[in-house]
Amino acid sequence: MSVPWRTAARLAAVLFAGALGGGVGATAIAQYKPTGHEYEPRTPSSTVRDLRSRDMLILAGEHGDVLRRLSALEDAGASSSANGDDAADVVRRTAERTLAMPEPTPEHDRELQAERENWARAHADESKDEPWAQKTAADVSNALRPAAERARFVVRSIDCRTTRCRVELEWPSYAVAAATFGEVLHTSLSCGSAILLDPPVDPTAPYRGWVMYDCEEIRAASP
Amino acid sequence: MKLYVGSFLVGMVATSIGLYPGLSQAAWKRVESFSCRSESPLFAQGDGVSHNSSSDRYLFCSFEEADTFTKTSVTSLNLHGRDRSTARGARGAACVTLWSTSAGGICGTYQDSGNAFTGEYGLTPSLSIWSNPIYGNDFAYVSVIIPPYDAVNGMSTFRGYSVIKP
Repeated sequence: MSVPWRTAARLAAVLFAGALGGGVGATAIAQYKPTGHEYEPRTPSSTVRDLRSRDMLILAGEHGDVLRRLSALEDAGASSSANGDDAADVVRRTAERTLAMPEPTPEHDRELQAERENWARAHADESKDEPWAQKTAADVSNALRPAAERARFVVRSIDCRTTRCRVELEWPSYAVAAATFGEVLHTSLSCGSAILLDPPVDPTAPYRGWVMYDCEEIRAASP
Repeated sequence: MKLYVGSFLVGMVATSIGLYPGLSQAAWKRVESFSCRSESPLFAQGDGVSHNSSSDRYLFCSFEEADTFTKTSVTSLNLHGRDRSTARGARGAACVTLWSTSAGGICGTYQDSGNAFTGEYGLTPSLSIWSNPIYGNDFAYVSVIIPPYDAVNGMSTFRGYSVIKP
């Protein structure tokens, strides 16, 4: 009887060792973060958002010059707060924000500009299905009418083709456009919508921009 | 000896499967409609938020993105509520507010419960915008349209939404 018990005990020990090995292996794999991962934030500033306190100390050691410059800025702010602003706090808050989350990057701006060109090209490349275009243009006009009053824009033109409509709009200023573009994004049309408004040269001048309505899925689903 | 090696491997594989995040990170989230916002007041009904207006009511619900639950990883978005309008349908879309030096936003196609439809709805809007990696760093939200008050059937509602990632 003693032999099976001894064998069972050995088996249990080996099983436990295997489980331990598996745990260590899985943890090691979980810690491994390959570069270029699809969902990995791409900017250097964002990669530090998950740093733990121990890593922050390492960071402080490796980037002491940055922190010293930050400290110098804080000191300068503290000694020259002529208008009462706490410049050091502003600098610190900005630094914390940079560490915590990725900022809008020039690369992302360029990607969006390219995407907007794609929207425009997709619309321009479509031929015109006259009956659909006329009906949808009327629907767009009706959908935007209540929004136009609230958001103070004027519809300059509506150009519907086969599945897409490009609508030119004019607001009293860029500030109004930037604050109220949601009114043209969320309408009673069920089409997808997209808008990107670049900052103007003259922020006080009337501002023109366009919104694209993509009705491809709606049209494909309707008989 | 074979028995011991086999036991070791069984223990290792079983534990690895249990702990490896790639195999165990499937997840879901459910968001109550009370956390959503509208420009006009909403009623808290027994079956979600509602309104008694004679026109559509636009509702915006945040999608709280995290490094462990990104919008690009979402494979299913489900909106739930009760459509009591015989004239208009409940609608929903997945949208992003662009985080850029330019102002802007994008919404996918709205899914519609249907004008004539009444009853419990479950909408699954297009995820084409959320899944596009170009918008990976932009802010995600759900746009919901609750149909107008129906004089016979009463107020339509929106209960909330759920998201699933594999």
